[in-house]
Amino acid sequence: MRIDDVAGPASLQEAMAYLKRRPDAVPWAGGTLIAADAAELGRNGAVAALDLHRIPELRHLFPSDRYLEVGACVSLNQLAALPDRRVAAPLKAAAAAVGSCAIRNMATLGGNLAAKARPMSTLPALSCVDAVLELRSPAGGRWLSVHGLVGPDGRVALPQATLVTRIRVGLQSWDSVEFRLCGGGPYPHPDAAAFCACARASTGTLGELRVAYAARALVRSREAETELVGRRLPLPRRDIDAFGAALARRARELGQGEAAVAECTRLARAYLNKLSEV
Amino acid sequence: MTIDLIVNGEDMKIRAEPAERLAEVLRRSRAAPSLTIDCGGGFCGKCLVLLDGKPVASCLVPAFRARGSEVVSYEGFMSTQEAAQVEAALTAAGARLCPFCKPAYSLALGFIAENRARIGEDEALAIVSSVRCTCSDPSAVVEAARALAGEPGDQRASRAHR
Repeated sequence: MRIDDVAGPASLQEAMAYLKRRPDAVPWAGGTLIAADAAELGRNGAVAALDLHRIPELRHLFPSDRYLEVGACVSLNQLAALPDRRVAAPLKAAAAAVGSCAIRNMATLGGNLAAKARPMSTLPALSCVDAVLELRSPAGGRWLSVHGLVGPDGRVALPQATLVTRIRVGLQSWDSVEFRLCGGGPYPHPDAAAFCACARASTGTLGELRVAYAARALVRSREAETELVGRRLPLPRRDIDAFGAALARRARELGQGEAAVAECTRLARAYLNKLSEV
Repeated sequence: MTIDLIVNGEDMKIRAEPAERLAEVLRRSRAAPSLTIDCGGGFCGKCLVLLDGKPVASCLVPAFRARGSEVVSYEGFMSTQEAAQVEAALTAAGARLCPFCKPAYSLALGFIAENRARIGEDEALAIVSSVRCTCSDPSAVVEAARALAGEPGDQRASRAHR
């Protein structure tokens, strides 16, 4: 890792001014992923680091009755420690599952989400809760759905000289939430993966369903989810099989290996089978 | 670059490459001779220090990130009142730790002792599981963590002075 310049802005304005001058700068939030993969950084020459942790607005939580806004540099441990009523359950579960406590104290939600090399563990959770992101660049700011940040290849595609500054997550309650780390090893292993699913049901009917899996790409089939909404629980075997097949098809479209295809299908089927207990 | 930071209560100015790890900087400057750099990827936790009051894997912290921060290593922790409580808890639990993991475990347990009012048992166990070493039975450290997290302060203090 070769770093030729470090900027430590104290405000977003200063950060934007620096990005205007050095659009190639690497935004450094917690830096746990960058540091763990240090050999990659600077392979093609020295880089500039934009240290974000001194910017107060990136380190705050902004709660309201209906949603929680999370500054991009809020640590995963801070999220995991929030009371259940103040954070969406899938996001809390994803934050708590990352690394060890010593890593979660450094790792941030923004850094985990914006990881360049591959989708990381909070992405399927943020997808399930349809998070909305605030992006800032020297040209200005805008809000964007988390799905708008994911390219057609299923990977996060953050434009150059752009920062994720806030993540807005709805606080709706879920009757069933499952999050698990899976794949071929723990992050940052190249075959690491994460699975997240959540559902709401009322009077024995499935009211809402979200299922997402992230290995080398984010895999989610909204069409398949919509197909199941409104069905009576427990779901019949043929519906579960059809959902699994749709998810597998989507995973293959995104170029996922057969191991990932099989894993996301198996986890989704197991989750849907368990839904009868909701 | 020159990094200004507070290590174990002392102001320090240390020359470092921006990408140099805090663990390496602390070892090189002799501010934390007990600190072990093992896996280099944050997995083993043996390089644990308190950065601005929180336990972190210092092998994942670049030197520039520590500017203006306060760092407590095992050497600094040993002069705090929690050190005696941790030692007593480890002894009571029958933990015999090797020199490579004892500093990290002690810092983790010290953090639990200092913050016991707001740390539950689950969180205490998560904190000590940041350190991984095969030198001894981890259940003894877990027992010490439970004791420090759950035991009322006055009982712990009386045991530490026994």
